[in-house]
Amino acid sequence: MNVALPLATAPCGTRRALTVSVHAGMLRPIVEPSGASDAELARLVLAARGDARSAEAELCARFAPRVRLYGLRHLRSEDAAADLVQQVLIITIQKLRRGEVREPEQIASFVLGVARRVARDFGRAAHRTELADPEVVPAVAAAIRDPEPLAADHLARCVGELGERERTVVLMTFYQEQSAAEIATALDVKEGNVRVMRHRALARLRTCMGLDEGAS
Amino acid sequence: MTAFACTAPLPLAALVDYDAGDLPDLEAARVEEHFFACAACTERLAAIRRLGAGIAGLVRSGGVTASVTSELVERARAHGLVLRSYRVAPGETVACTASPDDDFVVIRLGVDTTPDETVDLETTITLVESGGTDRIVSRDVTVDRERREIVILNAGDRVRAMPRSRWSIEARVAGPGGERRLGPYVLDHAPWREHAG
Repeated sequence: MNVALPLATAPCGTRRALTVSVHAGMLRPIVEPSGASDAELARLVLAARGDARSAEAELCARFAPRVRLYGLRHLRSEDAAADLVQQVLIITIQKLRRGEVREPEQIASFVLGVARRVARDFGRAAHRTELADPEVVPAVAAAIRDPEPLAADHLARCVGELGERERTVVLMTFYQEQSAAEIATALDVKEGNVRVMRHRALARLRTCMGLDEGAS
Repeated sequence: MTAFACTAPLPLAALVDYDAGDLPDLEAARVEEHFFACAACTERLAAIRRLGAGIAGLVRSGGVTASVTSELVERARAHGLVLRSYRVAPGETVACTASPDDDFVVIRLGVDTTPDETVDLETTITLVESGGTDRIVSRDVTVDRERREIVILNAGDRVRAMPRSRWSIEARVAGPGGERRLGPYVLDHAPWREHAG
């Protein structure tokens, strides 16, 4: 017999619906992977039940973009970031399968910790992971997707609508990869002014490109 | 993946500074701890990254027009982009064009300004055949004070699309001492096939 429980909301993230099955007098949650919290997914993998593989795939899909963004910030290379994603997800899934993740509620911190360790060891032979279980790799590979590029013509129009200074600042930030301090020196303005121009420009570009929260 | 609402979202400024590598390590670590546990803020940060990648892509494809520094021009050249450059002094007229291979046409206007002065550019474009005109005002353009010039990166496609025309640019320099005008800087543009050489 299945019983629906009220919706619960996590402070930051997944809204979930819980359905429980009653079997032999015990309540057992039936969690749809797409509607489960990260912690619930981790618990499913740890429990190694029938739906564990779906939970693994969902975990990979959720954490791949997070690790990629971390990798881009710290390794400054798309290829290195993709490599980082693969390694971190393989390590995470393998550790979950082996029951080596003691606190599934802290799975996000766990993955971040793995990302930090692997990124730190990047370039050294030591960072290479052991060969992955062939079953893990497809789930990881499926989760690694390059984000769809923005429509160039549309973006060009939006960038063209920025003020001159804002446009200069975003080009120096994202093409020249200059810090706010470097841009401030080059343009003879205060660093704080550069940051404000940059924030304003990105806010306007998000809206113009339909990427802000209200647009979806 | 649906972005669920976050009850304590990271400020946009923090996301932008994080992506640009401009946050101190401790603040960057806090941002990471948050978005690793938050699908919504991950999506917001991913949107910033897409914009950043898109903007870099616009430069790499010759698809943006802006006033820039000479360093950006040199970086683009080092990346293999083809840039055609014209330097114009106040009162000078220069013939210009854009070849099919040019990613950018760079216009360098000689100016002499002080750090407390701002420069607006007023450009009047007159079409030779029809006599029609268009006026563009660019406010507070970037001045390369070391080289004493304003460097304008023009998207190659945009210049190639222009018919034979005269571009007359005036610089309006404003500062504590008042306002002065420099120019006109005149470019006589002809499409590549008509260009004398």
